[in-house]
Amino acid sequence: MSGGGPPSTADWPAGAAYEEDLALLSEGDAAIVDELVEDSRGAPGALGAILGRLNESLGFVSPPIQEALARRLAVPSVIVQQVVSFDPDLSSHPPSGPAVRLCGGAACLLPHGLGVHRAAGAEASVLPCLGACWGAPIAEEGSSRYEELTPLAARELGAGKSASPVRRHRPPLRGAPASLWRQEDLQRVRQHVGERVARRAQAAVDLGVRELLVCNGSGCSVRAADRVAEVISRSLAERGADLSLRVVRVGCRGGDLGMVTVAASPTGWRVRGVDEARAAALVAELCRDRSFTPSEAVWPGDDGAAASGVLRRCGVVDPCSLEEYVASGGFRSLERVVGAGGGLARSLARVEASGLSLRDEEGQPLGRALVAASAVGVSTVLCPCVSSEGHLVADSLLLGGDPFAVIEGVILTGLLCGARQGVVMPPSGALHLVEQVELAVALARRRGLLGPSILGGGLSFEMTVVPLPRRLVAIDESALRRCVLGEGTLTPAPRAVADGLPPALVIDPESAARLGAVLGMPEDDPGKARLLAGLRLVTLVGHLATPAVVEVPAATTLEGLLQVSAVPAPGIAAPVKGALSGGLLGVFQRWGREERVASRGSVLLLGESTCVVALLASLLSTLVREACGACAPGRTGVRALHEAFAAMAEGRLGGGSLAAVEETAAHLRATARCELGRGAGRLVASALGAFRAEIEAHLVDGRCPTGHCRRMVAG
Amino acid sequence: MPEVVSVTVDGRNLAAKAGESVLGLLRRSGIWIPTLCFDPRVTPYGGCRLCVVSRRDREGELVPACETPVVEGMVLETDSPAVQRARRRQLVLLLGEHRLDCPVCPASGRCTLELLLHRLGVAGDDVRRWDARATSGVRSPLIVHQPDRCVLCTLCIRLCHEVQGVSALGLQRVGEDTLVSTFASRVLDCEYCGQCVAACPTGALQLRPPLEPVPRRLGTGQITTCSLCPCGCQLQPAVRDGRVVAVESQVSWLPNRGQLCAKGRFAHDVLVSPERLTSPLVRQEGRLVPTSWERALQAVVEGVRQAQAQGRALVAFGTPRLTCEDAFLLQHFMRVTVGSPHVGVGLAAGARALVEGLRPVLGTARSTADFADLAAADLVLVLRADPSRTHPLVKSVVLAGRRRRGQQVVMAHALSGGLERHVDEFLPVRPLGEEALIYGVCRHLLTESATRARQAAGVAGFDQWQAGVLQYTDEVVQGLTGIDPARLAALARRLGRARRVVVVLPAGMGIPGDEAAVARAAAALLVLLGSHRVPGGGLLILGEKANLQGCLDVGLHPRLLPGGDSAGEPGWEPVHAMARAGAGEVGFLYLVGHDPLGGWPRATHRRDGLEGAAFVVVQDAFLTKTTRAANVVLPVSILAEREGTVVGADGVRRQLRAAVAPPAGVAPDGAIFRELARRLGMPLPSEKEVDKALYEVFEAHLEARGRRPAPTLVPPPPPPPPRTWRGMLLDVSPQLLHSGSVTRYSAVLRGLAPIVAVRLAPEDVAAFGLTPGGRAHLTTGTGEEMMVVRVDRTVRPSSAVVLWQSNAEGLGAFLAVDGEARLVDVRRSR
Repeated sequence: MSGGGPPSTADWPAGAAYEEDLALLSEGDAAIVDELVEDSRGAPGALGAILGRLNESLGFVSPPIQEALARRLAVPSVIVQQVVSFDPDLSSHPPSGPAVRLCGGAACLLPHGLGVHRAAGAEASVLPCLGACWGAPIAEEGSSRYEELTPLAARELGAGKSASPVRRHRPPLRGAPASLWRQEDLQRVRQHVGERVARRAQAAVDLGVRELLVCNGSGCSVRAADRVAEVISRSLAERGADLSLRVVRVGCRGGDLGMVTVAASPTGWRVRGVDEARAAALVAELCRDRSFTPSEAVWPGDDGAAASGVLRRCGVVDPCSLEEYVASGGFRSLERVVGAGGGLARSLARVEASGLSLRDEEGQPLGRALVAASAVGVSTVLCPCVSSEGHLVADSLLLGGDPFAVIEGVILTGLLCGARQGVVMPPSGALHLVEQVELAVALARRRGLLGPSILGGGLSFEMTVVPLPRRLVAIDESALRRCVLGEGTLTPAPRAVADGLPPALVIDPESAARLGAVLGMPEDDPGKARLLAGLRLVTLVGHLATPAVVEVPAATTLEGLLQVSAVPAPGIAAPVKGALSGGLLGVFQRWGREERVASRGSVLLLGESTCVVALLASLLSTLVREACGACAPGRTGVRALHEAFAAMAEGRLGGGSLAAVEETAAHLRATARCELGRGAGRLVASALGAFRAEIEAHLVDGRCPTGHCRRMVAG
Repeated sequence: MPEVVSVTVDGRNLAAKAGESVLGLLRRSGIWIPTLCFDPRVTPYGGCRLCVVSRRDREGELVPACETPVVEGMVLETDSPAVQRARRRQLVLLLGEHRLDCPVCPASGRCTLELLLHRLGVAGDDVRRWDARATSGVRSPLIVHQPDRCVLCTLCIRLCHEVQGVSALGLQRVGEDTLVSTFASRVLDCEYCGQCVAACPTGALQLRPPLEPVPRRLGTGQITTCSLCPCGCQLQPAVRDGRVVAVESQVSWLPNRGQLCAKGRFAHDVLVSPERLTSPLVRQEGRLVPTSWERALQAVVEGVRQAQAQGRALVAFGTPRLTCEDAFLLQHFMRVTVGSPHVGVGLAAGARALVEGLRPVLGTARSTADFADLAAADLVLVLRADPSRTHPLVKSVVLAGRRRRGQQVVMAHALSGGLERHVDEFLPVRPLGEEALIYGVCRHLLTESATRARQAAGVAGFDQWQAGVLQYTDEVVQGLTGIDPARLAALARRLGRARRVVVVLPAGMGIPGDEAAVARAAAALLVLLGSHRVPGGGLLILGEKANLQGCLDVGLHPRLLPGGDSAGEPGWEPVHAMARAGAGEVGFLYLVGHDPLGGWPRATHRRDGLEGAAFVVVQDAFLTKTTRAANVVLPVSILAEREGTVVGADGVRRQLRAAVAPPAGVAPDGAIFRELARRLGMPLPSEKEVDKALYEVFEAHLEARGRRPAPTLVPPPPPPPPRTWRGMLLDVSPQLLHSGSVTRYSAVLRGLAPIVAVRLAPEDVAAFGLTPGGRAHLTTGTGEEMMVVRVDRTVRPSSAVVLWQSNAEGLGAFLAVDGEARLVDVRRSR
């Protein structure tokens, strides 16, 4: 104790006195909080869901609102704050005018994203992903989007000169994250969905009505699908055909990238690459005899054969119509499992034998997981739409385009392993997905597909929808379960503690959709079921002409993958497998013999001119931002690697440091808590294996072989 | 019997309990494992990754020992090269974001990170520093937070959340920006338990000078027992230059497992308070003047002899903070040396609950439940007040029971505290409504279960009791408590389903309601539930002062003799004694640690009694208001200056050891009693004789456990007419940082919680147009007071929390009788 006397508060710094603020809630805001809490009383995961809705209603969740919510839900206010500051889709401050928002997604970082970010300056904020990989690197300002930015263009954009540098400028995406939606857009979409449901319900009684389905997926939307739909509607109305031929917006099915797709219901006939002019021509042709038939499938672009497998209904049926789902073979497998005597055991054996895999790191067989889960008594099936970016795209595609398939798969999973509760977890930021899934769950419940006796078979299953913070991509199952319980603890709980939580089985949307498809196959056709079991959804992003979502058999090589997806790949130097959490592979020629696309969900491709060191610095900078901060390796190790590669690109790192980098990468792979940290270790370790010469050139010779790192000698 | 699994560790076969963590097994086996984020009191976190061990049975996979459960056949290596490499690498990485200012860091010498660097032999060449994280973090008048020293072990957060139940700290932001923060970055407003600082493995959280703790190597004092409340926390004052400079506690010490409240951790500065008495005072010509011990004691002896000669009564009240030994000596001094039966603990909260509430029903003036029962109960029912405010350790035991065992907790009282948000059910009963609530529940239990009624019918006094209970109909109970019949029935069902029930009754000056009546009702409820004599069941009465239980055990009560037997000739109760004194019947009034003028309600005849008593001796450490009426004032040693034993509310007798010497001129209570007795010609028993007597008393209690006398049900009073409670309820019950008189002399506690403040909910502050830090006028009808306004988010709206202070600066002194609740008008002061 300093000094001779007793301690006295007079010694304390003047600024350290109590501060008491009386920031009270306005009556209007309090009413909104009350209403949301009342609506969700008792619902699991109430905290996350309520925060998402508050953010949507008010634009942000201010500290007084957080505190009021905490009080009403009886959770500590710091926990609410923790969730808000954890979830990139939530904000505690009002949005401050039109500012430049940069995409921090992998596809945007790959070409020269880091340069774009630096050039845009400190005023620009970086969001995890703006969801428009095809135009990478992208930025947004207000409702405007700027695609294929160069650092020069980004600098001008950051300086407020937004007119000249844009290469493209398009309205906001349909299906983009909530942060991009303006309130009036949201209202419009909601109204649209509501009207659509009502309309199609009417159509169900009016069997004479045919429909033209215009893709509502993000890829088509950015290419003016809404204007195409408008033109078709107007043209039909002008010709008086709108009573028998309706225009409906449906979810994306993937694979038809770069073009607006229009399909006919219920035939599955489709036309790709429709623009406004072609839309009018299409209507003119259709209206010649005021009807159309499957024989008209001579139109170019028909690819009905591809409409099989997991994506077979996406873009073909209305995701809001349970009737269409059933008409297209939906819930057949559920009927089979629930209806037949001994159906559960037989179905379990069938899944086990099918080779159906969960889409995780090891591609663990789903059948075996189900058998193990039924043995230990699982109470809940969690279906989170989480993983790396590529997975997120694929999962969103299914939840938005074919939600009943996911719901059916979760019900089946639960019945097979004895669980009676399912939780579907769409990303909280994608409100259109949340609403889509909630609607689908409500429809399924109304039709007796959920509840105390599914299809009257005496088996019960309930389902809830819990929006999931995007950052939970990197967090383990315990955190998911806590999130479902509404405890709001987003930091991962250790395994030992997880014992206190209800046991759960985690299945991703893709696997859930496949489970339904496999069990829906005739039992006398095991070969087809096995083929379907082996299918994978793969997202291709990066230096491609277009991004793509394709289905490929599990053992397809990367080279084969390019052929399947018909992606032009000139001068590709390296793919990053499994987005940021995968490894960096060697040159194109080695793909075929070295790697298979085994249970991974995305591939990034790089041009030959990409500097591996700069690339790693970019990728690691994303991971540094995405790390949850809970485990020391994930926080400090990823940052150490990022600092090392950033320094390397600027010639600030000596040759002797490579050993430390290698050791850190190995350390991360061995000790990090979640896939983010381990993936970062794998990324660097694989790069050091495949591109060691290029990295050493930076370190030892002080030169960048690609000429990308400007502070170094080129060549 | 837990299943035993076999695990191979470094080539040795070890037996482990199924489900235990690898770290638990290794530490039990004496194997050193480094950790930064582990604490046995909280949920394992697995964040620091320093406790990794290698699993040979899984290809050498590195797993964190703290969060990995043992499984049969596990083969572990705890010190392989891969393990060592991983630990060293992790330390190097942590140093990358840690401010390396060890030579000037106050934590140097007790920093775990520093210790591990030395022990694991990390080379400095490897360390690459990058830009530090934020340099300013949690703001507090007590704590300095430097995030760039933080390793994000989250021990502070987890202890605050899980052990304290306060949740003042949390993580904010993500990735490299992650930092420990308060809600909305407000100034830390918590219970100031200091757990976060004590647990911080680095120097990220430090006490603000001059409270800075000393490095462990610089020496500490004796391990002793906190005597500020009856929780019995073990602590170790760090002593430098003969003065306590800090207080520490270890996780391995029971019952508090390293936990201390703000009083235990920071109130040690009262020992060096400038207001302490350091010399006896004697009244001369109307003024108290310092004098020698010789003259002061002689004056007291003369006062005794004069009273005896005049045939007037001699009365003594000893504070329940006396040690068992000193309390025994005081009652012996009065009963034997002086020959007066009028001796007791005075107006001590909890005494009536034990003696007049519990004893008539269960036959003992001792709580029938201890902390182990509390931890093992299926359901805990808390009545009258929130232990968060009165007995923080009890709150933590309850929280641990909930977290680890899913224990149910139900609270019913009229005040606020903060524990409400952790319990299964909170019943905000109207003031004074607890008794009616319990009888209402009893009526439900009796009428809804014939079996239960049949079983209870054998208890003595059942018929009259039942007849009384049946008067507490749902309508009557709702009128008295405000609790609707459906909730009452649900509570009865909940209680009826629980096998082991513990009822907790916190006591404290200013808590509304008759503590004895509530204790009687609660004891009857336990008898009805069959929980009064099972392990994991019982009644836990939490007295306000440290050694209330011990004082009653050794006979410092007008009705009790040492060992709990009834006194043949009962002495006067405090209020009665003061009335008799006011009537001029008392010739000698000996107040040991009591301040009636400052801390007793008006209706206790305190002023008349002090004026009427012929000779008043005050024995205290500070100059209190009562010393105004004293003829002699004797200064005594307190807290960590004392030797002896105290009995906690849990019935366990614990040792007080003097960690520091008292100031010169100050004497221990016992030594004063002995010297007075010697001068009166009848010396008190020797230390050895006292020890023997106490041994017999407490041994008898130990033996009595498990074979308690058969209960007797005492008929409840007829239900009183319902009262209307509209307006602001005046809450003068103990506050967390000030429970009585001593804490008011702590500059640190006064800084954290000013004693002339009214605490109001934010809604009320806004509604009354008050400003935080401004003044408010409080009127009760019998008095008024001007107070500083503080916003407190734990205060329930429509109540005003004011400290019951021993020098009557609060509104507590305006209350009429003990236990009465009162409404207060609050308005802005111009």
